[in-house]
Amino acid sequence: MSFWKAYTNGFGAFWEYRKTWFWYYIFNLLVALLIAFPVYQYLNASFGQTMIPALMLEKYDFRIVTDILNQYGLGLGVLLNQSIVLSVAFVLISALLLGGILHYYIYRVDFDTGTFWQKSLSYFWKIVALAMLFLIIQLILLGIAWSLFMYFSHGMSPDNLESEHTVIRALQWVGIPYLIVLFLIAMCHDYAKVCLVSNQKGVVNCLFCGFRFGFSHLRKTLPLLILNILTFLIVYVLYKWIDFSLAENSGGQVLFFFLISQLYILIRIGVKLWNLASISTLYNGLKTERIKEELS
Amino acid sequence: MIVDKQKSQLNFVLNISIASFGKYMKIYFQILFLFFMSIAFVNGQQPLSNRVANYDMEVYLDTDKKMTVTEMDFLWQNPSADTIRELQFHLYYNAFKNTESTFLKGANTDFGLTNGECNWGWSEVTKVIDPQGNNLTTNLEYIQTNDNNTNDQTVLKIPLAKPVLPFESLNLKINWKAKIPKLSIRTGYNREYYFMAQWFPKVGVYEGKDIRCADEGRWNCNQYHRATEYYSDFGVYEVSLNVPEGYVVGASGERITEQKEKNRKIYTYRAEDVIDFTWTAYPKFKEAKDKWKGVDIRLLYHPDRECVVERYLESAKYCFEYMHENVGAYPYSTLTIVDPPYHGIRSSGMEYPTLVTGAGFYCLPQDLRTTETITVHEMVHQYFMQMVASNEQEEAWLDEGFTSYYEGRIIDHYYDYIMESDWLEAGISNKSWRRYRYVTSDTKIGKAAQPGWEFRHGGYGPLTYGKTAVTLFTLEGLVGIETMDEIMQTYFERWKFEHPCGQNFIDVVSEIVRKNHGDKFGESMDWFFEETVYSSNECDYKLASIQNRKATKPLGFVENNQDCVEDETTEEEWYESKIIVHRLGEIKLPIELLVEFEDGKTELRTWDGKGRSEEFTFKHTSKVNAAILDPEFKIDLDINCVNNSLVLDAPKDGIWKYVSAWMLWVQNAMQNASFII
Ligand SMILES: [Zn+2]
Repeated sequence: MSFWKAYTNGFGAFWEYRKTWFWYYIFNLLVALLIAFPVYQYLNASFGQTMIPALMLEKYDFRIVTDILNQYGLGLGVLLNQSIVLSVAFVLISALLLGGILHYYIYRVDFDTGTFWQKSLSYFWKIVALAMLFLIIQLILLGIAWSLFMYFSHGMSPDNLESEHTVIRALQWVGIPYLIVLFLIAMCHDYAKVCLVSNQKGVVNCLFCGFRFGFSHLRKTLPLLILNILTFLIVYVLYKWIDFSLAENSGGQVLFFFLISQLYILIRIGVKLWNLASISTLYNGLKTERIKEELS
Repeated sequence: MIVDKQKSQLNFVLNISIASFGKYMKIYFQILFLFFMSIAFVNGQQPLSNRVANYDMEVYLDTDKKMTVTEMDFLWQNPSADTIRELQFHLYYNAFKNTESTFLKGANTDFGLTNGECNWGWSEVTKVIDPQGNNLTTNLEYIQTNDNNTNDQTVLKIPLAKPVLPFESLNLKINWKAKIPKLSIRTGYNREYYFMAQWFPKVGVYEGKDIRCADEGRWNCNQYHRATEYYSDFGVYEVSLNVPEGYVVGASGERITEQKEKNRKIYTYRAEDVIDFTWTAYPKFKEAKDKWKGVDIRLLYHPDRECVVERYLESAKYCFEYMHENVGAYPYSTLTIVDPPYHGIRSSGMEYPTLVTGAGFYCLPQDLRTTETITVHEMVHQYFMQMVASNEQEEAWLDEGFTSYYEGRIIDHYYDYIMESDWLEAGISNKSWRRYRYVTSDTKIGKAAQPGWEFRHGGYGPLTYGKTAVTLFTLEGLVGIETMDEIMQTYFERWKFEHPCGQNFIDVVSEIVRKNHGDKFGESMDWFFEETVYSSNECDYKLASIQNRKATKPLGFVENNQDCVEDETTEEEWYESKIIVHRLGEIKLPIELLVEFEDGKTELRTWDGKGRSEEFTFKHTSKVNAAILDPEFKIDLDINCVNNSLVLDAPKDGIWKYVSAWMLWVQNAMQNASFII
């Protein structure tokens, strides 16, 4: 199976199980509303009866932002901490949903809500454990990259450097390879999740399976990764282009922009799931080809 | 000041038996002084300043030992009617002698001076000879003019064998040497980069009666403190800098000669009517040149910084243009801008006569106007502290505050924002950034108008720079931009090449405000500055409430013999509205109140802002819907503009705009975070 076929067939799988897309978006929206609503209430109680909302609508004014943060920063800080807790909760919800979603992308059976939640629950802890292992790997990678950067940039100290050019060069030399490795590991993480749902084996086994699959089929997995990143970038650039061309100086415009931004989040989630569907398709396709080869 | 021919005569005279020629030398020096003073007139140019402190130096830079050895002819003109029996000199390199100096004592940092090598520096006067041939060296004494730290050697007293009579002059031959400290703060060396500021024995200011509001004659020669450093007399500097060949040199004033001597070069600079002299030497400097109305602009920068050259030159020309149009002329023929290399970063963002240091970085984003802001700030110092030579050590508000005010005006005029982001669709103006740094600090811990070393527990930056700039923007808001410009132009013209004190500035403000506004703001503007820079007070006005009541006819018996009125309805519908305002801060300023009625009509009133609370009543055919204090944001000092208004029927779209943006940010952040799953 070619990476392109995996990409296009992946979209078919994603569309077939679009209900899961809907579930994912609804959870994202619900958590965001839970975060945003107290902020609205707080700001409204603080200065809702003043000219500030009208001035804020008119244009960005740093003087107003300064005074709001100065007067109400403490309360906003508490709300920010709450939002971090809720964001962590969303990450766990993500882990829950991914198990069910992957189950359908891999087994391609008819969708059933009960089965979806049942599968989601059954893979939850394994997906979380796998994420922890990959998080450790990513942190080690970050530690190595940071150490290399500090080594090449001589700690960025003016006492040790002729020019800041060295810092920029160190950033380029370390930063770019770091990002490449980061994305490759993230790609292997995706394949490890597919292994987990597909093979029903232990977490460590799946971790190796992910790396093995990712790197042994690099000529297919890498182009697919690039294609998926490009898809996201196209969506992002399009959204930003719309964002720049929209003014937000009236209630109607604010509402319109809100709807556009929700459409963007919906599509962003769709792209993420399309990515998962396409790698599941590639994994299944290559596995089937290998079995066929072994049989023949 | 001292031309070559006379200089060789002077050296000749000094070299022969000094004692026997003492009385002739006295006459010689007096004639010499008169001759020097007359040169400028003969050339058709009147000196810009009174030229009190004049230095002729021959400096040898030893890059191996990191030392300078200097022979200096020093000519001092007693500017007062007092007889002077001693001179006081700043010897600021001794601040870096050890951890016991007042500069370093109590600092939380050693500024990198103790990083395993001996990075310390010092300065030592080795010989002082007066015109009579007296060797004054044995009488030298370190004194402490601000504290009792006897370990501090940053002020040197030279008792004179023969006093200097009123308005007489004195010539001293002073030899001195200095160990250059590693660049830790403002001055020193790092690698091959030398930045030489506060590097020579610089005479203090003798303030005769009425000079800078002095009641009687006094020396003003403060020790070196961390926050402040400038206050000295005007004069002429002629400085020969003997450096290894290959070093690119920049300095205050104009380069007048350049000669080669074996494997070294001697550059001679001359700076007239300035209060200080600073120079730099670095073999890797590249040079960019530009011109503004006859002023030669020279930028020295590291080859890696090619990308910031245009940013420097453009902002420098903008600054010249703005200050020329709105304050006064720049009378010097040169301006040198030094962009310190990365390893010289600790000398960035400083101001010296006709020489400033900026801060440019490789790949600094265009929308972050650090280079432009610092260049403009340091250049404005050419006006406030360099030409209008107030005492930065004791009244930094007249210097840093004024400079911050003009920095805000200039950056916002030419660039709109100090930083902006198309991505976030937001920009921050310099003025609002300065205000942010003021209102988010502990602004009540001191006064803006106090000596730099009295800010012992912080507040120097937010108060001297921030509160003063915000105060001046408030003054501009109250009196109008035209009056403000006239104030600054008058202050500059009247006090350039002088030493004004704070009251001198306030007197100019009072005079111009009274001329343009009569007694609208009172007899004088003393009250304004007492409320602001001379106090630790804050300003906060609040719009407390809006009350609307339908106007009715009086009920009951209007007269005993008339019928009882029981129907309150009137033919026309009238509303009586009451607006209550509070003064939460201590600062009292006149403030405008704008009310908006439901029918769209508006009415503007002015409150003197003195009472703790006040009420304003309105009678109108419709209710008051909104009221706002200081609708045009004239009172920049008001630390909270959020409580300045009330609206009964307030649309919430503005809140929704930011909350939905926040929500979108959260949604994106959650998606990014789920990357780890
Ligand atoms: Zn400054």
